Amino acid sequence: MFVAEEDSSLSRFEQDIRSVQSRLKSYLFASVGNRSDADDILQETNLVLWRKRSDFQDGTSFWAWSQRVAFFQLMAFRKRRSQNRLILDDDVVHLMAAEAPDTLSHEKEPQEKRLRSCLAALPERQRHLVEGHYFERKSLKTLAKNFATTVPAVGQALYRARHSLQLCLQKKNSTPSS
Amino acid sequence: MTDHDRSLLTGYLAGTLTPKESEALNQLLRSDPEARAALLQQAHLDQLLHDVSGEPEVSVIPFNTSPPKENPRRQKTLPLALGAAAALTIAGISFVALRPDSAPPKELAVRDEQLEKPKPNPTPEETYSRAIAKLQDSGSQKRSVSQAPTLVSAPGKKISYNQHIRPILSENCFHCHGPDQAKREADIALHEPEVAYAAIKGIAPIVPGKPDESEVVHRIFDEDDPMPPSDSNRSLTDEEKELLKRWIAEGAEYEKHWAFVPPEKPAPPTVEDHSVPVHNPIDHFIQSKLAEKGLSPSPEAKPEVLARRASLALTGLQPDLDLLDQYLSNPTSQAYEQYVDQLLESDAYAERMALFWLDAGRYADTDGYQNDSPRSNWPWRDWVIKAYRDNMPFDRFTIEQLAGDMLPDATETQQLASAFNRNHRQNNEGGALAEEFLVENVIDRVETTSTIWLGLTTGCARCHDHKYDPISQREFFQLYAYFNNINERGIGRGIEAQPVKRFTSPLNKIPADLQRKKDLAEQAITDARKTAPERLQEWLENHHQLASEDSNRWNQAFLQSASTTEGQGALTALPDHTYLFEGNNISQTSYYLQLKLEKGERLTGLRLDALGHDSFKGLSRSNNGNFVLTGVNLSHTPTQTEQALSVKIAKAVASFEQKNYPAQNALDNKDNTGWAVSGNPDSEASLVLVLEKALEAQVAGELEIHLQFNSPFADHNIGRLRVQTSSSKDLLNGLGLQTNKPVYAAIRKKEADRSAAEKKLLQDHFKTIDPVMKKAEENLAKVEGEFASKGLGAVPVMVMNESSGEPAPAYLLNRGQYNEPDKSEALPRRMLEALLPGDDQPADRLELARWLVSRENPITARVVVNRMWQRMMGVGLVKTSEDFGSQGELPVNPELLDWLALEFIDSGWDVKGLYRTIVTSHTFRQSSRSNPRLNEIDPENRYLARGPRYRLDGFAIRDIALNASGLLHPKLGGAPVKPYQPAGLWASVAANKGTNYIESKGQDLFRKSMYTYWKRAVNPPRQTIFDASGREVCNVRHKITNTPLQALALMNDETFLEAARNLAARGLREAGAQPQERLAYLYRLATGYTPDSEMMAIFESNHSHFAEHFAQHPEEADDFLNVGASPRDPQLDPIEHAAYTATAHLILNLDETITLE
Repeated sequence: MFVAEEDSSLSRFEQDIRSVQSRLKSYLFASVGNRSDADDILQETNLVLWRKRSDFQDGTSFWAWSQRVAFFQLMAFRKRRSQNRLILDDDVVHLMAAEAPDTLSHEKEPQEKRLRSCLAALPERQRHLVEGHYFERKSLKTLAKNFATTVPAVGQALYRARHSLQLCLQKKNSTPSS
Repeated sequence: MTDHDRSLLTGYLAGTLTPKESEALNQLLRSDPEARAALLQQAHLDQLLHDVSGEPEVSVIPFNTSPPKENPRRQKTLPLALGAAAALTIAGISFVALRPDSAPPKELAVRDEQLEKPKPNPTPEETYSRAIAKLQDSGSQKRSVSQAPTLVSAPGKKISYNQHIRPILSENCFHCHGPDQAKREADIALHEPEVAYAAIKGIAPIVPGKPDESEVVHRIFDEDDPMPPSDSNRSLTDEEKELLKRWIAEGAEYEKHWAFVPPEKPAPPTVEDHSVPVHNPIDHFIQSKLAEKGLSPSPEAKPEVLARRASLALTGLQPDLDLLDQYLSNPTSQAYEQYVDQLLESDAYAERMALFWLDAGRYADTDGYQNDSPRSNWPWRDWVIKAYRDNMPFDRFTIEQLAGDMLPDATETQQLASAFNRNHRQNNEGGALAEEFLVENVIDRVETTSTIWLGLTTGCARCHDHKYDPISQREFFQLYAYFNNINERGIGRGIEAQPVKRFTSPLNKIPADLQRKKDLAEQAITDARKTAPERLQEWLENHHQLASEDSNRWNQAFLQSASTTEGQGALTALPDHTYLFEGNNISQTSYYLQLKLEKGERLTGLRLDALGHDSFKGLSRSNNGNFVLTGVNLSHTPTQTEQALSVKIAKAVASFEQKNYPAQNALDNKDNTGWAVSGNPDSEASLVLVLEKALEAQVAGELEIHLQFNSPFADHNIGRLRVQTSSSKDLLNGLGLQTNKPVYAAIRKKEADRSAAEKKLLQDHFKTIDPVMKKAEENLAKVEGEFASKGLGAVPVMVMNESSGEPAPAYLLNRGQYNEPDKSEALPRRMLEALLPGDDQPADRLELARWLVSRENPITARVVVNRMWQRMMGVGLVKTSEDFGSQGELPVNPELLDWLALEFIDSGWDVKGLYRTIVTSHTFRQSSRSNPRLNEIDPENRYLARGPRYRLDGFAIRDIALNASGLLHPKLGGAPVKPYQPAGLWASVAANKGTNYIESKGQDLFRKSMYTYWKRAVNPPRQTIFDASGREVCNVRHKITNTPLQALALMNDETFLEAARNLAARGLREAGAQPQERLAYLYRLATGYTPDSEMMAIFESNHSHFAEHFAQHPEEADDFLNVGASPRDPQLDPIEHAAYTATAHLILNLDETITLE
């Protein structure tokens, strides 16, 4: 019957899958522009990763392999979805698919602790914006109203906040975490 | 990245972009890699932030591996109880979005079998493979009634490999132990006796006569380590195991697969029961099989039912009422046969049969793939209609379509027929690789030909040896070698994908005088082509002569004076008697050149050479070295009279002409046109002016040449000029030559000195100037214009055109990949070994086509008659009409199949003849009523104890409605049409903007459905709903489903509402005044039936309900009568019309209307 050795390889595979979840989701989210669609595609991707797990070759990049699988699921999703509900054009999606493995290759997970400390280091206004948008789920419009500014300005501020967070995370990742 | 870009990215992630912003975002991402990287990183942070703020995680394990803790019997109800945990169940696999605080997921998928027989806890692998098995449809309906092997069917009878054993082995064992050597497990194979009997280390899979020594028997009964393995998703029933064991005990005799054994024409068996008629041998075979199964045939259907059935089966339309009445007036068997003959003679028959062939031949009006560009192969579709109408024998039908281009002296229509092999998709996406899609096209040809003529799924052998049938990958590519030799490019739009030829529809009725004109024009071309070598020779000789004299022909002119417009530069003579222009920033200027003519001198032409000079680049002082000569005037002034006379120029020819600036433009003296030379490859440019009449100077005089450079461009006047004169008589003839330097050089050589390339060059050049050919071509173009103006124009059709010379090599492609050819060996063409052993193989596509319809081929006639049977009866004698291989169904009545096959060949492949035999058999004529006993023994009516009954396809259903209403426009053939379809459908799926469906107008809205424009990426939705195939690839069998969408289409589709309105109008106009008469007439128009009293009562109550309703709501009547483009009959009272329309609509929705019964 089922042997212990197999069990451990299964749990290693589970580890591998966990290690790419946030990157896959980021990639998919960037490509579809809708969180719940990205979640759906990620579900399907995970299923396929399991189904095809014997195809994965040890020693190669699990991230690159899983991103490729995610790309195919993404394309399948786009095929099902009617054209006018897709925001990005095909060629753009292809370009992003080609570049994502590199762009996101260094992102480590999980990151929660580091992220929280980076968040704390943000300038106050940016932090409030981030908290308002992500923790209180306020729309850009509401935030613009609250902060007495325009929607594009909120967008740019959020952009900068995320950029600072990313730089901060990169810095923390290159040094051992506390 | 600008701030605007940043807010675009944020807006995208927040989901707030407007369409316009989306477009800008795409543009940004397309052009800026930095923006793409930023988007990915921003999305990453966005998602991290979301997760930190408490978004639930996605489960990474699609199924639960922990053993169930509760009694499985209770767990079956669990999915409902788990509602709180947001469970989503897809085909047995459960996804659970885990909240950190929620309970771990429970085992959700429990199959019924487990409830019966509780098994030990399933391993993840088992759970997993079960779930996958559920995801994939297990295709268990494959086996026919005759195949369900039972021990009962075998007592006393020897077990047959083909009948009983092969289906078991094929289904359960061949996947790993079959023909595919690459995937063979443990070196054991069971598909051939040689390997199955062979012992490895003293153990043989099968020892004939000795089941106890056969490893196969051990393993299939082994409970601990069974075969097929428990994780293989395959299993043997106890009966199947016993059958295998008995077969081995009886000697394990293999048989060649039935379809590969040549058929022999069996004598029709005698029939004992004489209670029902026997019209032809079909009935002998069917009734004898029924007797064997303890069933008896049904009596003949009522005449009106039978007449309707035959009409629907043969023409796809309800009976024509005149024909029907003629038959019903005296419904004898003979009258029925006459009625059938009339159906077979109708155009509708030809259209109906062509429709099936279009599906098989994957005909479509677009190229498919992403761009899905339009194409115009429809003349081929009309060829098919004509072939059926003329009852072209099926062997000729085959040969012309597969190799019409290769027939000796192939006619136009034979070449058109070869378009069959070009109906494949054609990729013209940017970046598509020509080599890749060339391979796809050829493979499509192999697969289509195999399915239609061989009934084999050769496509499986593209990537590996076939898993079930004796078709190796090598053999696949040997078939490929017949189809890869037409010098195609693989990509590009269909209408340009060479070989392409222009054809008109062969159905066109062309007026005799017009045809005669065309024949003459074509004959003239043929004649011109035949005599071209003589003209070429003559031209070469003349012009060699002329060209040799050429150097003497031009004499450099010594000008008396050369001046320019005052203040606009100056001309200076150089020592070589050329004239240099000096001056800067000249906007407009003219050169005035004076030339002395002596008495007796003769002038036929002038030559102006624009030359370069060290002081400027190119041929003028302008920035780009170009000039524009906007006018030339010559005037002659004899010294005596001093009266200037204008000299006319007949023609201007230049050594080079810039696009839109031809030399001839210099003669019109208009400032906005002229001769210019941008892009001139040479260091100089020449203009030859030919005088209309030679100037014979009776007395001495002067010629003034006035050149105008009046273009708006600065300094666009010739920088250095030489003038030459000629007195040569034959100036015009030689002109073409001087302007083409390579030709000029070649023709100046003696014939013997010319290289092959030069000879070819001269020949090609002559073709472009050959006046006889030009005239013939112009004439033909004129005639073709006349054709086009009468709607008989030719359109480009993709055809086959076998290349001459050494055929293109074919290689085995590893894994079927275009870029992995095994070049160690070019594969010779050959038919599948299993069908045609030996070395005597068809040498090319034509021979292949001929072999397919030869008596030596065991399979094609069977495959073809089976499809014809399927078209009439709804199901083939072999249900899997696309697969006669080992995974296909065994024929339910093999003797009948063979008899039909050989009868078909013996009749000279007479298509109408065979249909006639089928539909005049008692088997076809039987009542289709079933009964409980029959339903139990033969629910699918495979033995045909009753007549056929099936839902019609969407094409017929629409045509019937149009026909009943009188809207159907009976035009035969022609360009496809675009009837109603939901608005915006194309635009929403098209790859390119502006792909809109433009509805046809007038009668084209009401053509038969087979003429509906077939776009591969967006099939006509009405047909898709009714199970039509997509025409991407070959399809020879439709599924027939019944779904709510179909009912919704019938109830709401504009087509059917409009048809109902017109049908009602016919009832009001053509039937008597009584509602009963009118309603009965409506029903008869739709079905050909006369309603009984029960039905009449329903119609009447329905009608009176609506009459009352519309009387109370007259505004609704107006709306209701407003559907569709056809005009409403203003003579009819709207309330009455609307009420009858409602009942007519009911009638068009009846089961009787849409079902063949």
